[in-house]
Amino acid sequence: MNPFNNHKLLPDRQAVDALNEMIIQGIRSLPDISVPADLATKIMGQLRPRQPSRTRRVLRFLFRPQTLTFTPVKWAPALAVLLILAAGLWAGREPSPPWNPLLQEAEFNYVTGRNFLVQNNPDQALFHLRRAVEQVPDKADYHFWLGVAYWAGQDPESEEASYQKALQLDPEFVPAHLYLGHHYLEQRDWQGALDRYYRVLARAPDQKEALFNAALALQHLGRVREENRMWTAYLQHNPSGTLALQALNHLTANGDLGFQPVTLGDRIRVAPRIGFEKSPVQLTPASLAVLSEIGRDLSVTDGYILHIVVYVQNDRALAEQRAKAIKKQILDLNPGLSPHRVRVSWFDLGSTIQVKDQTLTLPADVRIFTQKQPDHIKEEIL
Amino acid sequence: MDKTGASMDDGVTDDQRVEEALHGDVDAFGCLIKKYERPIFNLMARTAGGLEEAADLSQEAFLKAYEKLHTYHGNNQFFSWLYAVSLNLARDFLRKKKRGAGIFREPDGPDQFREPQVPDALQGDQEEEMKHIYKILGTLPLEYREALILRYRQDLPVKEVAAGLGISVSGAKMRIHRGLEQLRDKLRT
Repeated sequence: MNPFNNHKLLPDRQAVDALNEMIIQGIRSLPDISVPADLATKIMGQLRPRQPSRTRRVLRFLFRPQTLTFTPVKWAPALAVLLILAAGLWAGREPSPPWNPLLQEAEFNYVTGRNFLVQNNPDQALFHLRRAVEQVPDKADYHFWLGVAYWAGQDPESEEASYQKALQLDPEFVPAHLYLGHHYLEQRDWQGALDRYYRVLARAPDQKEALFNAALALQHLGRVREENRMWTAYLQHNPSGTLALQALNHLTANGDLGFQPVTLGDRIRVAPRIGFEKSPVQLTPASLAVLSEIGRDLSVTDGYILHIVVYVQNDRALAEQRAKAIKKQILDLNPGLSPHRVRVSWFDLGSTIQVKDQTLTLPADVRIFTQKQPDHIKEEIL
Repeated sequence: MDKTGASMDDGVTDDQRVEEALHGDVDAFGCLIKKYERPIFNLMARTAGGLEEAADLSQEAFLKAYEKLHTYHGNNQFFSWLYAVSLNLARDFLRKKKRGAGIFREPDGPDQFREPQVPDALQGDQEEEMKHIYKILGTLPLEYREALILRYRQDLPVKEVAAGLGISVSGAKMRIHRGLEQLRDKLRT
């Protein structure tokens, strides 16, 4: 039974007020979803101290806390100089730009059009964005968003023309290159799309949409080696999420087994496959970086045990050596991590991977995954 | 939320933290992250549906805010400004998700058209209306939903709701009014 239907029994206005009150109370008392414990740490890890602007440094110097003793005779010459300077600045100041109502109205139409786009109302979005473009025709941004509105309204010819117009006004306008790439991809013009994505990547090498879709275009063009390079680049910048798993699947299907899924708690990330240098137990630098990250993630994810399974076909002793070397590396790289939470096992067998309908055997491999830590198990394996 | 923007522990205001951050003190911005990560993460969780995507979007929002920090002038509360920055990212995410349906993702992929996520705390013995409200809130268009959240969940005055949504005060009043109207209609059916 719908509990809100009770209000139908009340007179109209009263019923509306009562329902509003219940909704407001409901919204006020909604519990929040818990924030991941490591969110702030991850963000902080990416911040670099800002360099304050010169103006800010000067202002801070002038307005820093201090005690002043004001002696008029002593300060009079300085004050006079300041007044003269201020008068000079005032006389030579730039005239403020004239008020342009058309520009204001265009900006209003532009913002309103974008809002309608968000609300999935392409007709209204088109109306306002067209107006914005008519009012101020030389803004690349307006043409670009008009193109997006045409896309939403399923008018691909006008969509393309708008992006082209945006690029005519500003050849360096990256979003227009990107969306033109999307447009060509949707029109199955793989080479056209690829050209655009390459132009985006020349300006923004880690642009994830361009990386992912360029790989798709290369796949359709049958350029497998370039395609694999593009998936690899995508995964280096975007190791987690649905698209990372899709990129991994494409790579694996192409026979490139350089990456593997690593499950850490509820998260799956795609990481370079663990490998060894010429010395049988010396990990490659890329593998060390992966182990360091896994250890760090594990340190901030309570309640999980990390399992490392090492396979070396026909060589149990080497498999054991490698397993112990990996565990040591993870613990050395993350001194705060308890050895109880890292478990290793080894086999003198190759590992198997399913590629399309084929089962491949890798003579040497390392698999990494986590398991919920049972409360009663505290012993150490090694 | 503390309406003055002052932190609970040391009385330092958000504006002072911003000023410190602009002078190179990353930790000052860290305090702002800790203070506001919950509402921003929840905004992203309501938008994206998945917690992993919500975490990525929240990171992106704070990094974007840090990058644009010099454009915050203190005319409104810092939280409203941060919310406006985050909401822009949420809008872009929704737009890309729609566009990406044909390009980025396999057809019928796992995160297409997910049900809004219901917080764990609601899964148990919470009142039926609350669950109902949460689910229906998730079906409202982003602009209406967030207007209601800012006004009633974050308890912001309408002026700050307007700043958070990047619209005029009368526009914000209209969003709240229509949001309530839509919720009422949905709850009655």
